[in-house]
Amino acid sequence: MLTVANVAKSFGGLHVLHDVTFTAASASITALIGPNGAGKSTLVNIIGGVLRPDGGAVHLDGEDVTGVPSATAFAKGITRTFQISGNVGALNVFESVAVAAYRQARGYRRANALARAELERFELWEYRDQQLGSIPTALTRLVDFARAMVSRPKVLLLDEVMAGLTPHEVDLVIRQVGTCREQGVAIVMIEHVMQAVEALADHVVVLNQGQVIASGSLGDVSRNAEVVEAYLGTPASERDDVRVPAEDPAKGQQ
Amino acid sequence: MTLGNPLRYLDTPLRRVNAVVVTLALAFALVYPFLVPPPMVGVGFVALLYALRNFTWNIAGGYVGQLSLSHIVAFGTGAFSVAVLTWRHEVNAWIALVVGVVISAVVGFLISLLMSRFGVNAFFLALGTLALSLAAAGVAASWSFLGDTNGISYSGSEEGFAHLMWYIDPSGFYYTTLGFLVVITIGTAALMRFTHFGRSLPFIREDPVIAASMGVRVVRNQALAMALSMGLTSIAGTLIAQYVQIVSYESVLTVEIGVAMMVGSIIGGAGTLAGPIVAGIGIAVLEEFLRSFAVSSANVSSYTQIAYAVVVILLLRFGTGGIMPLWEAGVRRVFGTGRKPVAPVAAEPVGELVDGRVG
Repeated sequence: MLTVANVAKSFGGLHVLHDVTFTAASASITALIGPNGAGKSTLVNIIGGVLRPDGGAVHLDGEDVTGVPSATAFAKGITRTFQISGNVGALNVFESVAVAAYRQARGYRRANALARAELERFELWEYRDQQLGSIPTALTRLVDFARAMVSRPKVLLLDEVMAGLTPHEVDLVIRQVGTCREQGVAIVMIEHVMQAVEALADHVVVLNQGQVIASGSLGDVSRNAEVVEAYLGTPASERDDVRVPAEDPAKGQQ
Repeated sequence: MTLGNPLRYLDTPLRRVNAVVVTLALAFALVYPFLVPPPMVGVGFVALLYALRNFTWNIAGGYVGQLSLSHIVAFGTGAFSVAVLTWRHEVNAWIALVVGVVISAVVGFLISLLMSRFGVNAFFLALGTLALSLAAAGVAASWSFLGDTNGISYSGSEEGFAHLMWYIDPSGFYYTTLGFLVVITIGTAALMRFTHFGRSLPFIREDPVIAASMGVRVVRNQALAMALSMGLTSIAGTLIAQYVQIVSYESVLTVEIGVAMMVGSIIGGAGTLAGPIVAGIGIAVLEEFLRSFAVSSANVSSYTQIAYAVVVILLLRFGTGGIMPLWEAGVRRVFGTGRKPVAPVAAEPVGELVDGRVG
């Protein structure tokens, strides 16, 4: 179980997150939604150890993992996907999955066996020799998800893994996320594809301007007046105040 | 660890062509000293030394992307350790070689940690390590322990493999360097293919943040790669010192040596196994070729630089990856990729060798 308590983060004078608290239970899927610039990616970066929060705490199964380095977070079972871009295009598909497999595997053959099983599960085995830059963007998402899954995580952070996928691929990922939930993983999903949120989310947390404005089932939060306002009714000028520069490149990919 | 049937590795035309080329090249390298007069064996030694130097630089510079000029210090350390320990104090040359390797590895480990501490990017790493090398040259030029401006000359009388010294026939140097090159190449290939450490290096180069989130200890692995890389570069320094029998700050601690390693690796294909070797031998052959046109030795280096420029322009025109990626693309175009687009089959045994960046 992942517990995020009172997390705050500022970049200079810009308060990106204040007092964010939520819980992602094991064997369930927590969808993190909210408009652009709400602070979702910053939150994922804090949980994944890329950023250190200014305040608050992150606990994994009761153990304090606030601000630990990424590699330590991974070793403890927090895995994440990235919105992979061109700068990792030279990397090999098989190696991407195999290197992550070393969390579970000691040794070359075992890691390769795990990587092979995972690539086959995602229907990616035939792309094993390719470079990430030479396969379609949608497939890089799948590779990234396979890479996260091969480490058998306790917490899986999915950062817009559905973006740009075809309906068939979305179905494939939805099935895999479902399987992952059955294995007892606590899944935190940043997602704009509502098909996926509807199909999967057990619990929805809505973030706006760095604060949790609603949480509950999708039905509950979609009837919440504040949520409707956040998505539809906020003047653009106010929203610009909380735009996070670091998030812009990621948003540009959609 | 069993690897199964090694022939199973040769499952694509590219691998088969490469296997043939490597076999022929090795066979030629083995008989080369019997085919040419001793001076040309010396040229062969220099070519292999360039290859060894480029290759060892490539471990940190190519695979991890650390554009380091501190390898100049490693090269100089290898040369000075044999000069000080063996020539002055009659320590066995092989012990001096090991001492040079250890000192260079420690320096490499520390410089990499220092650079990581400041979070510098590749270009500042190049500038920072250049500063280290210039400082080392300054120390060597003014410290009598390292021969100050006069350098240290060889003094000794013993010959043979045990003393890493041959006076008339350079084929001893030639075969020793060839041996080091083959062992280090095989070792690096195995490291890059079979170990978590080696396999993590390309991820560190491409994106340290993603690498870290995959459980890779980025700072530690960078430092270890740098230690390995600089330690092995030191061997090249020791060999050239024994060969020319004089060491001074001007001969082994110059910026040109670092640039030659860097440029050689990049021309050949940074992060490939064969690229730095091909480029090293190619550059040595080119230098010798220019010499045969009666270009005075003072001009050889400037003509070599013009030749570098031509090669770099050609690479920019036809692909920026270097000679090896061009070669691979060419072979694939001629012979096809040899991979059938097959649906996943689960029955095959695992542990398959995959075509990574080390191929």
